[in-house]
Amino acid sequence: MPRQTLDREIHHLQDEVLLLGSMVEQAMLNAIDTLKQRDKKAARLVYLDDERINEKRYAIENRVLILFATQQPIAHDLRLLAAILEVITELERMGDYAKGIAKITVRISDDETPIPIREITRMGDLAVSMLHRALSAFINEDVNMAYRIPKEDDLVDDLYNQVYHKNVNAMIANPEIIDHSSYIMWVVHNIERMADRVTNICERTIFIATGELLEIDISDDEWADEDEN
Amino acid sequence: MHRQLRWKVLLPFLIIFVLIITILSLVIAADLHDRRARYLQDQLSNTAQLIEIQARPYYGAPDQASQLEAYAKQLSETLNIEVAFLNMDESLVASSNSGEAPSTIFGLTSALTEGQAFAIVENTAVYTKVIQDSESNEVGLLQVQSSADLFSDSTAAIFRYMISILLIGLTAMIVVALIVKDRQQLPAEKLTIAAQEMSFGHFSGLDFPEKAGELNDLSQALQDITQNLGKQIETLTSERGMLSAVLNQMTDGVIITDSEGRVKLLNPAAERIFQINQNKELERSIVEVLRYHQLVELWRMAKDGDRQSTMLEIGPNHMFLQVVGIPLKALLPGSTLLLIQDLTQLRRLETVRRDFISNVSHELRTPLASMKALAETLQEGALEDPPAARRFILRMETEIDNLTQLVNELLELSKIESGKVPLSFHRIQPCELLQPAFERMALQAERAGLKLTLNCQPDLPAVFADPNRITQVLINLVHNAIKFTPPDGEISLNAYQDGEQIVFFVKDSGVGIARKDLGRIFERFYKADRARAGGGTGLGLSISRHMIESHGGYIWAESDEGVGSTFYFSLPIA
Repeated sequence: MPRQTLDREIHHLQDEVLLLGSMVEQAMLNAIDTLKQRDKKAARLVYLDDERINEKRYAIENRVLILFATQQPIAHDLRLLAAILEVITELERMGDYAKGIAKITVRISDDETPIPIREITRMGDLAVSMLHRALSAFINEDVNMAYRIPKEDDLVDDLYNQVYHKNVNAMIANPEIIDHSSYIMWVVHNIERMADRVTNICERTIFIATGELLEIDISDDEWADEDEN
Repeated sequence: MHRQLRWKVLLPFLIIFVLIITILSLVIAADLHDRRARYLQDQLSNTAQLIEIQARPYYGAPDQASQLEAYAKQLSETLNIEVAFLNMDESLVASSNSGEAPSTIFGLTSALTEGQAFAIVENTAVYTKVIQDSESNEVGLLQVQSSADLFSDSTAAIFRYMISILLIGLTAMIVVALIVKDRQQLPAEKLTIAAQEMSFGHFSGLDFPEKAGELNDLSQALQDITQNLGKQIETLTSERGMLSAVLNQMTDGVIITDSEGRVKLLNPAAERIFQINQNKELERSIVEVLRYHQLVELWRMAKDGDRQSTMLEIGPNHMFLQVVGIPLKALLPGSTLLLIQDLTQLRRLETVRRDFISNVSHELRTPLASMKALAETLQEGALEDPPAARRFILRMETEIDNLTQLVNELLELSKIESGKVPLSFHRIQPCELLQPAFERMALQAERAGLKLTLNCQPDLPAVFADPNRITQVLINLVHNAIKFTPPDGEISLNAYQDGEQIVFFVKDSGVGIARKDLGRIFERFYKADRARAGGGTGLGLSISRHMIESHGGYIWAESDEGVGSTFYFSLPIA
């Protein structure tokens, strides 16, 4: 396969990664919507759509492996293809988080207990926006952007902590909603994990561009406090 | 550019000219050389014949050397030549040069042919001849030398003339080329310039030669091309202008991709819908540009097959799009056209309309249902119990009043919305607007156990307003404040100046409004707290908003849940 064909194939793979990303973004937004509207039917659709995300992930993986075998890429191409393998794994896991939220919708949609939907929507929008831009940075190999995005994780963490404390207090005040509240904890936890995984994508972006595998430090207040002590 | 052409024409002429002059001068020089040499030879040979005859008697005489020398000197002086007499063995007998050998003596005997030899050596012509006595015995050699300077001088002179002619000729040609041709371009040059202008896309005001000689046909053909191309380009330009005007102004997004999926065209509406920038996105893949897998899937289906159409709700902003994908088969093979219609706004209006109808139905049904119940109760025997019947009738009246108010307010609202309410504007001092509202609501506030205060600076500039309508708005705001403020609370009426506006506000210490409701309270029938707002129609704030907006002002609210709310509206200063 001549160089030009390899380039085109890589470009095509990048497009596929973006499409997978779009599917995951929409899945997460839809999952949160189903929770907002307590819509079981829509939640089932999100649940089923996850299968398509998995399929796409395997299709991309397959193509990358074929390229490895036939092209034996080196240097930048090798890093890029390896990073794609990593990124699609992250995306598939994020899809699973969306699926998890849809599952929780089905469980709690008949429950009248209020859901902190404002915080959840905000977290979801933030996480999806981070993912969207992280994938742009990944495709454009924009190292500056890749360094910037993980810093926004703090906002998601703040919202997570808010919901967490609110929920714990509510559970103490009214033990009858422990079941419901734990589900809500799962929802926000899923979104929080999704934002964390965006950081991994940013790390891969830096890896493609520079060849360095590094862990981007996200400030973690709790540990920081401990360090000071 | 046309200069080059001139030099191209001139250069061969120049080269030919220089060659001719050079060859001519060489030929003439060679010819002249020949003629001079022959002339010198003839001259020297004649002289030598004479000398031989004269010198013959001296040979063999006893004092031959001195006699010959005297004779040689005499010859040298009269004829300006050098003469030498030699023996056959080339030893010197006598010479005009005081017994010394002439400067040029060389293998004389070997060079002799038929008893004579001629040569030109270092600007000296040398003639050698065998001297024979009267019995034709070879007795010696005679050498005559003469300067050949004149000869070489004349050759050099010819070259000088030729070079002068060459230089003058060249200069003349260049000058002529520069001056004369600048005024009068060659037809070919004119045609070239015209063709070059055409290549830059200029089709008007071209200068074609009037008489192009053998290039006439070419010139005519070029002129025809100019006219036709000019017309075609004009047509294309205006068509293109119209198309791009349509593309730029249409509200639907248009995207065209090539067979590889690269974005080739993107109109401003598409930029707006997807919040992208044309300059950055052209030539990139549609996946990178759109980033919505649903759209890309539709595009792929359209690319490989037939026209596709679908409605999509996508993205964090819940954009509602109608997307049509059309393969451009014959027109632009491999290309695909995406038409995107943003129906988000339309759908929201649809939702508002649906909500409105369901709200109106609900508001109408409640009093009707209770009246029906009251009427039925009366029919079923309550009429026989006059005190109860009277109570029922009173309640029915209340319900009818409520219905009447609702219907009136709906009519009012629709009138205001369609701009059919006549407003009588006056210049009026803000306090004069606040005062009547304060007076009319004071009693009601007192009954609710609230403290109503009026803060107004009388020196505020006047506003331009319909006093009745604005007072109505203020009463409505105070009414709401009373409704949502627990006893012992405070309500104040205020006004202040903010630039070109007077801002009025009604502040209460009531329950406040939740953040999520704050943006919607001015919508028709929107009730933040249905239990508490039960009494109202849900139209008051909506009417107020329309009233203020038809005055050219704004209305808004701020609230802190549990602390109180403040409703503001602004009116322009008169």
